[in-house]
Amino acid sequence: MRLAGYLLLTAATYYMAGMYRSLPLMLLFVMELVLLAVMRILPFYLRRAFSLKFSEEAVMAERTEEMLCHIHVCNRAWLPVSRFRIRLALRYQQGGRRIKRKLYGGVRERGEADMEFRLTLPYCGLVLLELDKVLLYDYLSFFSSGKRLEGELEAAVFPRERALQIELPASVYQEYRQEGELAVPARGMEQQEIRQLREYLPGDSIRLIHWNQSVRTGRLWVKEFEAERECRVELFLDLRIFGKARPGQMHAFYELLSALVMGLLKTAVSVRVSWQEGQAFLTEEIRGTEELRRLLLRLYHMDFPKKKKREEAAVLPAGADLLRLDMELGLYCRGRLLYRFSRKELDREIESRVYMMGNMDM
Amino acid sequence: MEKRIGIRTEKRTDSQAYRPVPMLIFLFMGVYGLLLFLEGVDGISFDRLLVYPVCGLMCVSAWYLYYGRKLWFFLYATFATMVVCFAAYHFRWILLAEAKSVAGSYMGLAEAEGEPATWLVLLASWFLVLLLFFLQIVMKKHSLLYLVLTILLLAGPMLGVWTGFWEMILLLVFQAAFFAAHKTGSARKGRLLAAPDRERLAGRSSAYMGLLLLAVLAASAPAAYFCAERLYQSVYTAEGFLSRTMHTLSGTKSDPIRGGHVSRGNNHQSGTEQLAVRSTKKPEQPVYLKGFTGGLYVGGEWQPAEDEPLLENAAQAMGWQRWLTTIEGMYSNMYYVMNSNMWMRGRPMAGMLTIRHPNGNYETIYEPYYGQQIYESAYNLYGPPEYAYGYWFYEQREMNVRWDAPLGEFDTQRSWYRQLCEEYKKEAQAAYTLTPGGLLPRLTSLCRENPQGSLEDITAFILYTLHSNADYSLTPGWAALNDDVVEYFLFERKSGYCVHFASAATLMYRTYGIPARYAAGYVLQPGDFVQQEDGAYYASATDREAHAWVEIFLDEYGWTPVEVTPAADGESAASFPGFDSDVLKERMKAKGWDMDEPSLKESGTVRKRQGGGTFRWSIDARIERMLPFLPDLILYCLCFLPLWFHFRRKSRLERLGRMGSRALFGRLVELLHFGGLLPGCDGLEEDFAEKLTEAVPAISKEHACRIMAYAFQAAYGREEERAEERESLKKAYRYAAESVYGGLGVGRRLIFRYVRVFW
Repeated sequence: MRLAGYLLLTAATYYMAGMYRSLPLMLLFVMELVLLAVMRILPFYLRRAFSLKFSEEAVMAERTEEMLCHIHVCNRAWLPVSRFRIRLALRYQQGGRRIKRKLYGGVRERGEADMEFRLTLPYCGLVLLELDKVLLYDYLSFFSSGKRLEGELEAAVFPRERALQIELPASVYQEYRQEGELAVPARGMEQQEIRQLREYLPGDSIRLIHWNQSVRTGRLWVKEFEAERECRVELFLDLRIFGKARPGQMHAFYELLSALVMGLLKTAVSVRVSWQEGQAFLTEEIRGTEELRRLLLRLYHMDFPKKKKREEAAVLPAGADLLRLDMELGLYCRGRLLYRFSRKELDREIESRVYMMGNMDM
Repeated sequence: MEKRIGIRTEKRTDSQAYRPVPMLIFLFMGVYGLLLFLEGVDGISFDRLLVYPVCGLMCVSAWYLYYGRKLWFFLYATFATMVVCFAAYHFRWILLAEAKSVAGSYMGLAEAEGEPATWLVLLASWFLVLLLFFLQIVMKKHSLLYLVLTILLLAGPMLGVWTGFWEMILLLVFQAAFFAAHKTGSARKGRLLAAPDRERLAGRSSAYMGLLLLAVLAASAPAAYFCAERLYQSVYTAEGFLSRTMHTLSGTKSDPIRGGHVSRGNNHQSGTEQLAVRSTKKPEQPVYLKGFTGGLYVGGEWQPAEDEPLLENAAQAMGWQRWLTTIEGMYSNMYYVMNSNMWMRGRPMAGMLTIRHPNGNYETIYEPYYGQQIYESAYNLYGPPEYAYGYWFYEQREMNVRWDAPLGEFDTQRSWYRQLCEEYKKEAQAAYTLTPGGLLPRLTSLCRENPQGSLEDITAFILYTLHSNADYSLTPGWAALNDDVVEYFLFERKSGYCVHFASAATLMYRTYGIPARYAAGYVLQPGDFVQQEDGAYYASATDREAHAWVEIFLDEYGWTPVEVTPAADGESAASFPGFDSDVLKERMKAKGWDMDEPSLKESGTVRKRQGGGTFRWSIDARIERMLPFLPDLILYCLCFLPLWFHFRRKSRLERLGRMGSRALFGRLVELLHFGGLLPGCDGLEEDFAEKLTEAVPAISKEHACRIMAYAFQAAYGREEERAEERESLKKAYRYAAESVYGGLGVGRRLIFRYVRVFW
């Protein structure tokens, strides 16, 4: 449209210059023609010396937070790139529609710049952002020249950190003490008897630091507790329909898993989460948020076949019947359904309800 | 829960306040381009020495305040506008007088040159600067301004305002640069990647756009200058092609005569046959077939001449009211009949001319001079069923009317004709010497300033004026709308075709008191007639034979065509009984006229149209034109010199603020030397700290030692200098600057502040 207007103007200039035999107007007409040619060539010249990529390989944030992403733009040409357009392709790792977004920018001549944009993702999971194509415009935005880009950014969205208020039957808790491992009480159970204090070693939990003693002595001391009361929960994830779940369903599962693990960590030292991936039986020991996020990242990166051999995965492995969470948000204990959460009401169910299942007969 | 993937960007403000100098330069260009354009309007003149610097100051003040503190800019704009409005109201009588003068001059109402409209232009300039600034910089709205400026540039010539080279370049750069600035990173809200220094990038893009345009100008100028004529011709060719195509597609026929309309544009001929003419004898002189006779001239249009009222008056004067219809018939074939009866022996045989319209449109009937229409019985000469009409006619060379010769039986009839001729001549003298003097001030004054005596002298002067000043061209281009087309042809464009030559000549004849009429029709040359098998001579008239000419009233010939349009070779072909090329040459020689020397001076408008002195390669001419503006230019530069020093100082001080410890220490030593302190010391001496303390007591010895250490550390150390180290050095530098400045005289203080920019 703009170009058509410009051509119309050029034609009008040509006509008026001829009709009034005006040399300045004829010069203007020739300039308009030459300028058009220059503008046509300019994007090709700029394209050769232009490159861009994501500044980071991965970004992560909680679901309610915005993710700050950076694009590094480099222009080695002698002229500034006044305007370029990037086309980004976004898709959830575990399926869903591929969507495209356009972003604009500019960069000075022989310069580099880090440009930022903010990403908000509706579901927990892993989103892949691909740099699809860039278009470089001339200074009057008449013409553009594009090139394909290669570059990928992983954006991981974790569930909000919140704990399910839950008490499970006593039989679910297992006594737990690894050789040489420091006993760590469950959250809220720090009133246990302290066996001794020792100096801080790398890897020790910050929660165990005895701050009063540390301040007094100027060195970091950690508390060691009696080991008798330490316990662990085994949680099996039933991922049999993982491959065909939609991002919304996955999101609900991750939200519930996160809240459940955080809730269990209030009453247990650790939660040992296990699941089956193909023929392999995988586990992850969760003691806090960091391990939980590592688990979620492992799950995000899992690549289940969509339809293939679903029957093979239909049989649960031995030991998976103690405490089990499936993708339809059902929580089972020894094969018995304790509670089935609802996708629609999940937030309310996590935040507002208390699940007292300690006295249930197993 | 929001289910969509959201991507948004935030506007990032620049880390440092930034005043984009390119924007100021391009704003200057826009304002000055418009002022130059204003100068091109007829009747507008102003004091450049006042207007240009004041406009420059307006731009600088607005730009400086806007990019400093926006609130101050808006306060300034509001307050200044109020002051300007108040002043305009208070001195409205001055402004009104200037406005009237400008309007009068533009409309051609004022006789003399318009008075300077300096105050009016200044008032307009303030609003112009504000408008450009708001649209381009504050609101970043370009489209409306772009449209208006483009229309101004293109429609200027149509309104008689000729765009010069400089204003065209200035306005083009202004538009393109701001366009580029606005397009820099333009995107829908929330789609623009946040990046630092966006304003700087916009400034840089516009600056590069300006440079690109200059390169484009350098590449285009030779092409435009050396190929201008070809380019003009290509426009006309294109227009002709379009015109013919439109006629073909729409099925409309071109009308080459177009009544009495004096065309403002080009004449594109299609070669379509308009008339088929058959003559019983081969003509030896051009045959003029008249289809339109112009009476009154009203602004580019000739009203049809009506002889009936004139004949009525003549009949009344002769007491022949009862025979009015007979008089009209007598008059129409008077000279044919007279000539037929004039020859005692050897009477030439009258030719018979039959005219047929191949397009079947007989709305306009064409008649030859010295003829008599043939009625029904002769129609079928062309052969039925085609309709045609015919005339008996004589050629001019065969005319031999003598009013006083004895004619025997015809004497009574001749006395009636004589009486009718005398009365008609009186009426024609009154009716066909009228000119709209108010519409043609220049033509009227030209004839008044060159009084001529006889008809031969008048004709010679008319031919000399037309042929020495104007060229024949079927594609002379368009005429400006604010000017009469005939005056525009003769005084501005100086190029035209038969319609323009004939109109100008008719009006000049009339101004000299010679009854003259504008005539249009077809002219067939003797060579156009080709003998066919039936022994008759046939000719075809296309729109290429369409023509316009003047007819003057001669006693022995009646209305007689006078050819005023130059021949294709530029030669003057005018002739009528008693006037031929020999007479013309003799008169020219007697008057000292030379056809090769234009008799009219080149008007200012013509200079502008041709690019004027603004686009010529003659260095002498350029210097000659520049000289009157040189004092203005010098004064103008002097006005802006303080501003330049101010901005230079600000820029240097910013650079000083960013200097590293090492550079700052070097600058400190320079500063001391400038103040005449510690001569010969370069800062490397062991006792430099003591000497510095002695020279600048405000710097303690410890402080002096510390800054020396920082400078050495910055120069030779591996660690990066810290902010507090730089601050310490800056503090010492400030103490030293204050100390040195206090000991300087006025002149050296100015050098200290504005030339060396130490502080």
